[in-house]
Amino acid sequence: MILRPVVHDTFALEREYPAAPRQVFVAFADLATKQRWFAGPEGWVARDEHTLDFRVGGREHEAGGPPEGPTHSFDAVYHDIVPDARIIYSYTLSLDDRPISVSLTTIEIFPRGEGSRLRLTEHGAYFDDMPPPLRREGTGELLDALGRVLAESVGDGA
Amino acid sequence: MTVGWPVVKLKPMLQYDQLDRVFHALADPARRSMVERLSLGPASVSELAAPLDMTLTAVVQHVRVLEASGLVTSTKRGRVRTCTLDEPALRGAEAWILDRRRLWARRLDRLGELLAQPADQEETPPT
Repeated sequence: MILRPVVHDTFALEREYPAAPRQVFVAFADLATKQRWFAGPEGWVARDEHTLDFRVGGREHEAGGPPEGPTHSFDAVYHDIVPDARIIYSYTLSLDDRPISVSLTTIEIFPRGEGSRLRLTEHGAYFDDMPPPLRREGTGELLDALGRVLAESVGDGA
Repeated sequence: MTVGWPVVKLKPMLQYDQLDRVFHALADPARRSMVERLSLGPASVSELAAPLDMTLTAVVQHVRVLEASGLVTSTKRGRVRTCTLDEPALRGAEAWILDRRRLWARRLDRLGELLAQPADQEETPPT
């Protein structure tokens, strides 16, 4: 097998929300709230119970995928939690139990007037021999979504 | 709509600067619309130019950017240059990175919708 180089990538996304930092933080800390927005793409089915032990050293597990497979598993460990302000975790993404990437994610929440600004920064190491991801939308929708993401990306030079 | 990735033999990983070129190529709305058109099938430069409000010269420049990114290839036959989308250019790690960004963008938008709901509706599951 020829080992291909690991690809490293950093991206950042920012959003402003009409909610206090407390509410934004709870949307990450409380499993029932998180499940309402953290889901995978439309049409995916859950494969395991989504579990969250939200404390430093605690773990989160979520698994799902398209009905025809493969199973995409998200396994995270929380490294730093500052209530209402910061969450840092790392996670492995596995396809049918084979890890394909490891990422470090930082969520920062800042008060902004009556609401909040959220910044997500993700550094990832993407291993060699990754299969192409499953395309989930038509090209047009993909590109529109990509354009929006790019328009909203900050600090990643993209 | 669900579209499967074409089954392709993996080429050696694209270089990182090529990933930057892909991002750059897709950051422009005119080039995105050209890629969208090419996702339906090959097209000549003048066909690509038809729906766009720009000169043929400008369209040719956009085609060059798309070619540099590896997303599009073109061949010239007589006076007609035909462009073809090379979808497998987006695969492997690059495709996963795009995918991850896209998924996060959607999640954060969904979180925004949730947070924008009045407090008395917070227990209503999203539709």
